Amino acid sequence: MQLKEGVRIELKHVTKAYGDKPVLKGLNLGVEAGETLVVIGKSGQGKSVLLRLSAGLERPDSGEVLLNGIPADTYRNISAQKKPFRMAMVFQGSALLNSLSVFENVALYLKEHGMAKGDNLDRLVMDALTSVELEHARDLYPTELSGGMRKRAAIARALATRPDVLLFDEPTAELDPLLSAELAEVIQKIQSAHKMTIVVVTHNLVFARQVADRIALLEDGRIACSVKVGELLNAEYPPLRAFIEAAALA
Amino acid sequence: MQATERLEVKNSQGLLTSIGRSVLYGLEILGQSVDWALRTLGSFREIPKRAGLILDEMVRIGTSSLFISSFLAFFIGMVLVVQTADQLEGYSQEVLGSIVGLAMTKELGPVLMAFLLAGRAGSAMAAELATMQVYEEIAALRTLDVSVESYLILPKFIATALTLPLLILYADIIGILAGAFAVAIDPAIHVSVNAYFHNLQAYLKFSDIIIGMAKGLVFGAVTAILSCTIGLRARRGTEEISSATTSAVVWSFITVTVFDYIIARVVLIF
Ligand SMILES: Nc1ncnc2c1ncn2[C@@H]1O[C@H](COP(=O)(O)OP(=O)(O)OP(=O)(O)O)[C@@H](O)[C@H]1O
Ligand SMILES: [Mg+2]
Repeated sequence: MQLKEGVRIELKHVTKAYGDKPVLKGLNLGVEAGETLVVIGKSGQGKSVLLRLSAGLERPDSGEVLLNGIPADTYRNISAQKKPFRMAMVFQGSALLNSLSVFENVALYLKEHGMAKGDNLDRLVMDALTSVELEHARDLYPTELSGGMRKRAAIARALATRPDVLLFDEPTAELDPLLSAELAEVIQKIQSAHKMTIVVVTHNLVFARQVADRIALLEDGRIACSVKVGELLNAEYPPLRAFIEAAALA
Repeated sequence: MQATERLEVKNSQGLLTSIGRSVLYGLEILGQSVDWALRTLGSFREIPKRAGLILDEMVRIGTSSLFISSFLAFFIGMVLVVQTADQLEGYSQEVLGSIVGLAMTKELGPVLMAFLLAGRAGSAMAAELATMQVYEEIAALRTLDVSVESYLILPKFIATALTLPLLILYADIIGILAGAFAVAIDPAIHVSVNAYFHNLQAYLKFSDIIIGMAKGLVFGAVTAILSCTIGLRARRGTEEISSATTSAVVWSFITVTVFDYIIARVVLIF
């Protein structure tokens, strides 16, 4: 049930505070269908919050988060079979279910909703695991994995749902440069095969340049600037410049 | 002088505030528990789909509680006999069997086993769900459209509600046999084991055992819902996992005792 037109994400004047601490302060952001947007920003600026809001896991205090016009939290409560499109999320801390093996984690969505069983299920899960080089770990439990392996299992779990929208929170934080490059390739491949909308939060500018169409900087509760990836190195906005220079890209 | 006065005022406010806060906290937990209970009942048609998980939970609860429950029931049975016999000194000890049997099946079996279950299984459930909440496993389940009530709560709810009555029946048997053992070995007791069982048979009705087990069904269901609710309330930070664990046990104890009274009262009407 791949969508022809893809999924557009819109955040309009979104505010979000925890207690009396404002995190997002009237944030506006649009992600076009089929676009890969990378969000960068200093630690604690609200990048993970932005993804949780986009996934409909939390509601904004004010403003709107829309997925093809549907409020994200409404979308979240539609049952799997009735959802107009699929969305998957890779959490910063992986968030694998500790009681399930790697295979079972990756198979959970397909099995739970009766979308595949038997050999078919096996093949879909192993395809996802192979794409992140984790096929040998299928029977291990999350506690037996390294941080990078857990992250890759979480990525496989997201890919196995064949999503139309994919939200990545720091996908490369625990990966070595080789694995990061391979993940970038995987993302580019699925991106061109399906018209997937992808939002990636990362500090890894090398990775960002490989996968992104556009790069946005989150600062002080708003999107301070966003540039096409080709223009990144010429960007003049000082905070963005600081990021680029710190990453020694220019 | 003024400073101490102000301090006292502040303290008395503090006391009232903290009482108020506890009451609100209690009401909040109660409300959320009812909410989760209704949602769990709403997912009952998924019981066949969760049969495997339910069985796993039952085994887990059984194995975590069986040894201690044997121990507990055995000594409670003996204590009942020894204490009652002492009270009956000078009267006839003939009634020992019925006293032990009724106390065990109607009251001590259900309540003690419910406390034990809250301490072992309830705390484990609260810790498990709190951990899942803190490490965003619950959020991950939601992004996979897996329902928390059907996938996580329902199996624990059904398993606890089914296992506790069985545990109670088991404790009844052990307790009554332990009572007989005390009758046999204690020199201060002047009735025979035969007379003990004879008296027990004469007064203990099948319905007493069933009522005790039915209490277990309710206590088990209540403990499971409370423990899951409290576990799911955890937010960020690992310290919330340990506080959820103790909180689940305390709240289960309180609620079980209240329900025990309600059930006893209702049963007496009929
Ligand atoms: N559930 C919550 N309760 C309270 N505060 C929160 C919560 N979630 C986020 N915050 C606060 O919001 C701010 C932004 O958090 P967030 O996790 O989005 O940062 P981030 O940009 O993802 O940082 P990092 O790059 O370190 O992952 C932080 O100050 C954090 O303390
Ligand atoms: Mg983050």
